[in-house]
Amino acid sequence: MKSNLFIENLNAASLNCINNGDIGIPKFVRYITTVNRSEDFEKYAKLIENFSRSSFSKKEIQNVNISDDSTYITKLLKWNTGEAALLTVSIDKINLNKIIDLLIIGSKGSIYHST
Amino acid sequence: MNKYGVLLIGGRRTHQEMYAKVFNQHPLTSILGVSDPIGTNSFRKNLSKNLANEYKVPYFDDLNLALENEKIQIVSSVPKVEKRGEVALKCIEAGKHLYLDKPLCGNLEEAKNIVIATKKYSLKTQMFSMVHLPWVKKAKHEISGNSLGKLKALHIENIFSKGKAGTVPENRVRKEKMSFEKWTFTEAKREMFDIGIYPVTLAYWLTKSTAKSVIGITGNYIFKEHSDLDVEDFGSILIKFESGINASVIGGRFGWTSHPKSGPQKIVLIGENSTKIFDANYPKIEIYNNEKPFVPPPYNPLDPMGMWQETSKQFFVQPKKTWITIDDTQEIAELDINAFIDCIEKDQLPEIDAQMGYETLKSIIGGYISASKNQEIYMSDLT
Repeated sequence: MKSNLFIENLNAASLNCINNGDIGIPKFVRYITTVNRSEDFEKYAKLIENFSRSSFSKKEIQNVNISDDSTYITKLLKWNTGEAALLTVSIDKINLNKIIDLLIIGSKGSIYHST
Repeated sequence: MNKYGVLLIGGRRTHQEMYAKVFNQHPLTSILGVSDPIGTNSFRKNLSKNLANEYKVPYFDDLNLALENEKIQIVSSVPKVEKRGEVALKCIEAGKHLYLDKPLCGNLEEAKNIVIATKKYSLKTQMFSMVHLPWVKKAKHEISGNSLGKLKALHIENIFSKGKAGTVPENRVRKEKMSFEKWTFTEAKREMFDIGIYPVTLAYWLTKSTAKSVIGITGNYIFKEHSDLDVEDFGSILIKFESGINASVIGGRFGWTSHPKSGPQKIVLIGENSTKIFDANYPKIEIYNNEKPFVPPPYNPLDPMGMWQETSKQFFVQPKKTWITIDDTQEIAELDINAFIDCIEKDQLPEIDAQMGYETLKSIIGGYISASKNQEIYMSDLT
């Protein structure tokens, strides 16, 4: 079912490609989003983290967070089966730009999206 | 002969191919010869002799004798990584300005010795990097322009789109090592070291800061060749800088068919007010037509990752034609070497000197140690 949030539809479409085997076995997710409202910050961080988990569905062995509370958060996640994800959410307070930049690397190919 | 005589160390199937082309064309430099470190095997010597023949200059069997030549003021040094520290010291002690292939070398102690010697002899050293590329300079300009507000974090990635993807054994889980004796292989390279050095160097250059700690991960995600050699095809490092800025970098290789051009190259700047992305592949036009799509070259046992121009001619690599970038792009080596010669002429410090080469190597070695231990590594703990 379609969501009102573009990022949720993007995640669903990407996951569909992964499940179809379009990029082989997913290995690494690099997800960068910029939101323009502070109330979206936590929500998007959660959305992209959950998306990465659903791509790999294995036991996490590393979850590193670095952040400046009012500006950005970056997470480096690593799973016991070798996969990893690098996720960043930042806030744009001036241009009020929304950015979504996704790269999923699989053993046979890659998925890209840039908004 | 032009103002500066140049000795090339290393030959075909190395970056020396592209450096030699620039030194040969630069109005202030003349290539005077080619040589190799003592103990170089005959295969590599022949590759260097091929380069000497191409530029119609002598091949010096004895590097020490070549360095005694007073007409040589500059050495372009591209020996195999394991010999870089020893060769660089020899050149500096002989009083030569030094253009160094990246990474500086594979050993922290040797890197430190290069830095000390450079200062002692007051010579110019420059390590090959991306800092003179126009799209990279735009990112630097954005920081100094202050339109983002104070820089808080950055992300930089460089992934090469070469090699046949999907050959890695299923369920391969990389266990990183803490030993760094061997860096040079025919079939593959340690990609966090070899490609990761580009984004790591950019992170240092853009932040103008030194690293406090690093957290690294490495993977065997794509290639059988890397897996068989027990070296990574992919790596990522979080760098916490002393200035409070944090950087994430990605360096790796993911296959001919995983990208419409040479691979993703991006810089993301996160300021306190705004975020901006700089992309080597933007602006571009895209072409779709009735020609056959890109087909990877046949497997080349001497260069399966398509690293060198020389073998790529034999195992023809079709140009990828779907994405055409619009901005005029000068060759990276030309921009970098022009800047190096300028620094010698104007007696200025190169942007990426041996000191920077040492700092960046430290972050990468720290990244490997971190990946092997699954923990943060502090630079102060690395000797």
